[in-house]
Amino acid sequence: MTSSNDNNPPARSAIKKPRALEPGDKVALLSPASRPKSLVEVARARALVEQMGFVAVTGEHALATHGYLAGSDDDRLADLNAAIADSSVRAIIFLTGGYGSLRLLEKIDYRALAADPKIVLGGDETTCILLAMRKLAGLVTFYGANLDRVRSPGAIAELESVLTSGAVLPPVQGNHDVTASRFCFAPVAGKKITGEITGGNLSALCSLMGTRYQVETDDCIVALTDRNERYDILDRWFSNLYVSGRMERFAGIACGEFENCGPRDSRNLLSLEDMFADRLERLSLPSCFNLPFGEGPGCRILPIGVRASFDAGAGRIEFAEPALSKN
Amino acid sequence: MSHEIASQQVIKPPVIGRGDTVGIVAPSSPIFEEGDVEFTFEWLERLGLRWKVGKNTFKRWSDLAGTDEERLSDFHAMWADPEVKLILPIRGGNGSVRLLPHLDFELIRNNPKVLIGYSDITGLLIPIHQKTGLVTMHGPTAGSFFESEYTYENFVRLLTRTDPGGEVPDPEQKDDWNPDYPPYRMVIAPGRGSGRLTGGCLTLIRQLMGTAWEIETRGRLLFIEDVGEEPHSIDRMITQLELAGKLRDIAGLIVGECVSCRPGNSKRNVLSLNQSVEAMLREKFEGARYPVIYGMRIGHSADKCTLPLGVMASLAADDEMVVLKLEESATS
Repeated sequence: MTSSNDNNPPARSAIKKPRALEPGDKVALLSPASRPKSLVEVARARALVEQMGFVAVTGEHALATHGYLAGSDDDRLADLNAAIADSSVRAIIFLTGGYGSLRLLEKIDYRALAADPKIVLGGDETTCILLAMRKLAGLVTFYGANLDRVRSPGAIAELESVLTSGAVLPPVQGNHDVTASRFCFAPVAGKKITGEITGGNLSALCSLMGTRYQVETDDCIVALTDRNERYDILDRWFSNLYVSGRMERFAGIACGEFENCGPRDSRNLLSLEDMFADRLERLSLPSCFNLPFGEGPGCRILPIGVRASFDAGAGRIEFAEPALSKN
Repeated sequence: MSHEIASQQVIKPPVIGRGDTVGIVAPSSPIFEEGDVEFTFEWLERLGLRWKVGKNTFKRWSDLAGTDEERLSDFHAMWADPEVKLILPIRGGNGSVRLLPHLDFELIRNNPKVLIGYSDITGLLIPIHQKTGLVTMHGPTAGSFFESEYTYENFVRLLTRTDPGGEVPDPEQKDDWNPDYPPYRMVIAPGRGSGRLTGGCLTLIRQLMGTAWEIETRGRLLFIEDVGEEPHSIDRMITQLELAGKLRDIAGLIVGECVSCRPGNSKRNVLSLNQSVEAMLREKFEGARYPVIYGMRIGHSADKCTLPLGVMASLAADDEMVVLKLEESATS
């Protein structure tokens, strides 16, 4: 076996941290999956990034259309690999999700990315890219909302602080404030554990199962969220992870926000939490529901590939190291 | 990791005849209106079959027909019961995959019988076929084998005869002035191929990825279909199979009708920009090294032919015609 084999995940020591952004840094805004709803979305995203003091560079094909995709695979890939190759680009942020990232994974230039680590941030279906980059380039990446969903003052402040902070990020803390029930957390099982943060969007995570991009989850704190999905479908993907036998080797499961998920037109369906809980309890896996991360307003951004401790009983993820390096 | 089941390892279940007993179970979701099952009994009677109903069939836990333990114990009981010759799940839904870590494959291997179903039942058909060598049947469930003449005749022909299945017929076009779309056999890529059949509902094939029961496709004629998935969602599942190398060494690909998979039909994950399943398939598979056809009535189509997993079949597709032929019998 040669050490240059792309199939081998980099050892923990090979983790690559991009550097924190500084005023004037270039930020590439790309559509690796579906097309943003309109050119106004792109203008708004540009303004958002410019207001933070960065220089926005929009991908050439960010507004292209090809069926449900923002341009052909070659076009979307050209934008992504151009941003990776451009040493003046210090961050790549995705404009929207939808579908299409999966089609790019085979041809992303992971080698160039490992040689010049930069911030990559997205969510929804573009989570596939984040997880593949963590695995094949050893890069710390960022799971949150794509830019079209970064709208609330809180979400904008969170984005700016994550992009610019070379310090350890503040803990993700579930609360017990009964007047703010959206993030009132519920512990399921377990003790305080430590591990690397991975996961993100559950559907995206499961899209990688059985492929060479399948996420390394052993001894990890696996974060799970999703949005706009039916509970029974989410039960399917949770079952996929469970019966794969890998779940018992997770260090823990931290569930975030499942925004706009529900039973839809099912006639008899327990909540997602009820359906997950029986198996989490069976495994005695440190786990809790409803931590404030995911893709909705007020959600924290998670650094994928960073070590942390997870106290399910206290609803708290405490990062053990900075996600970005200082200049 | 994946290996071809050698022909001598394929086990065919005994043929079904008058007087045989059917075991009705609910390994996935329950039927909501319990009286519905009465229609099934009438049709079984017409076929000269007796039936037994699993004791937990009408239990409920969330959208499942009872807890995993309850559904599994009914399922095992039918395999263990020497009177039962045909296991007929009441419907699909959700939940079959949850049973797999606890499924007694040894019991099944030692008591070969017909298992038939589609949709969520795919989560049992593929694992059981792969782990035991048993030919399992992708066809109707208890609630649907009498739904159309085409479905009924295909079901009866495959299960009650031991001669080779032969050419799979098309349903009759109901209205020549208003033909169904997609047509029953649309050629996406011409060619010829033969191999043992495998496949089922795409969502279930996806759900098995990365598990010990992941679909083995090498040398196989693969069929896939789904219901209520948008074109981009079908694309996503096919792309996952591609990335996993599952479409590299197949003998051919049969994509079913895929009911309610046109843009906006799914009621979930609808995108504002779109393209058809057909356009997506053409982009992906035009020029494929194996034949690819689209439109066959399987799985969720009201007209559905029964396709046996593990049986040798051949597919020939060109401008003139498309022939799918079952080269062997499905039962012994």
